[in-house]
Amino acid sequence: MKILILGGTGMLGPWVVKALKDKHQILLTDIKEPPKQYQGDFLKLSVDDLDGVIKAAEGMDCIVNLAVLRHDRKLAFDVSTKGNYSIMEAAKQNNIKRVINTGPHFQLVGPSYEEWDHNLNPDMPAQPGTRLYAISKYLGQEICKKYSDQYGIKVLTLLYYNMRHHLDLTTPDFEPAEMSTDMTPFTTSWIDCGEAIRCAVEVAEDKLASNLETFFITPNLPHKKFNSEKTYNILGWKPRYSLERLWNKEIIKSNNHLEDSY
Amino acid sequence: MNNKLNILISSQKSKISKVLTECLQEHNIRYFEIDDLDFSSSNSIEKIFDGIDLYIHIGYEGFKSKDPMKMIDYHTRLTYDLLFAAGRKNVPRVFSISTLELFENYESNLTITENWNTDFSVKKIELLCSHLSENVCKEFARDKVFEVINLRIGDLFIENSSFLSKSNLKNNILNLLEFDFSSQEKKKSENVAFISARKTGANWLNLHLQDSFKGQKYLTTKIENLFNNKGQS
Repeated sequence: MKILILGGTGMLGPWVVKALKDKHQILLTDIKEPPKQYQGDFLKLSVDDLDGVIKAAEGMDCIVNLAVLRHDRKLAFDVSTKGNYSIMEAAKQNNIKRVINTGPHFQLVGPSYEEWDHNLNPDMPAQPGTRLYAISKYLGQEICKKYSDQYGIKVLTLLYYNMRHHLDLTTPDFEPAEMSTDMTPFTTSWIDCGEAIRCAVEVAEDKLASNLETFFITPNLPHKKFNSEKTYNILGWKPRYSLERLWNKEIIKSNNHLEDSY
Repeated sequence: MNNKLNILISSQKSKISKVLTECLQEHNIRYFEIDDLDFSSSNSIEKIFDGIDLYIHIGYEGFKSKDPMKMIDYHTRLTYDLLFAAGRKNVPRVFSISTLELFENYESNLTITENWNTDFSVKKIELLCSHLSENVCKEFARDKVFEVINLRIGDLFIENSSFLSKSNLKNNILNLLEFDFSSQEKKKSENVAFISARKTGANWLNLHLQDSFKGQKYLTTKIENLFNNKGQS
């Protein structure tokens, strides 16, 4: 597949490239240049540049949106809301039938859910509340929804929260993880997050119940706050890392390599 | 209405704004024009809400631009900024003015109420923007920043099947000024033990309004029942 990646030089981008590069043809775009390690095609492009995104999407089979700017009010809406308008117009005009969108879990299950309930699932009606990042992403998702309904574009939205490296549990520009306390409210390894995008790109159309499907990207966690069965069953995503060092008091070691087997 | 309310309306120039002004002439009305505001300064935005009892945000045809990005920007970011400022100034109530056109894709044989999902063509950017504007307002209501009445109105200017006469709009707008969310919740609670839990009401009310006629597509029963009146035909 020919895949346009928007916002591809941020924190998630390198892991998405890793997951896709051997099987697909990638055009990576962002306002920031990629590091030298990246060997593929790159185009400097802002996601809210409507004409630029439409042009970059010519001849593509799929658009992956990883763009995030959440601290400044104008930039948040430019990227998360207007950016999604660019993407969906580009998909419509270039007859692209698959878009992978990303966001934080609270664009769907804001405080009115999270502070009240368990077994939160990705098919619940959105309640983002007024938090800037959540509402700007949610409004972008509303644009996706209306376009996907009308033009038969499959939009798969993957919702993340905390992401850590599978080896040292680090995140660029974030505080070190606190062992045994840091589930917050779910944490996924970067490498698994990238793999989830590949699964969404490649999932067969007949597995999707509707044009707009949302998925929580989290390993199966003991607190049962979030239900990600849909992600495992439909996308076939199997996280390699549960990161249980973040919530176990101590690592359980086994002396028997057959323990829990069969 | 004994007391004059201080009402702020987004834009004086739009056609809907002029009709609203006629409806509310007994009150103190102020306006602002979006181009006159400095959105880089939260203080200057908050200042327009000083002493305001009601903010009327026109989410449909209150702002026009040929650039879809400017339209989306107004109906999302700038609407968010305005409502954020209103919340900071403790404005107690917001009217969100929207349109029944959000249901245009449903066939005319159907009877649409406030419970229906919106269905419109995204080719009409003003409808996409109205939908987004409603959603921004709703989240402020959900977070209990202030009360929001989302009023989806019919056509004020063309006598078509969703026509809304100015007198009908005026009657209902004046009723809505006095609408008490908590009294509605208490009515619902008559047979419920914990009335005290419902003192504050729901904060969000979605209403459809047009003139009534037999066979209308957009039912207005909810607002009629609310004020025990029948829409004009």
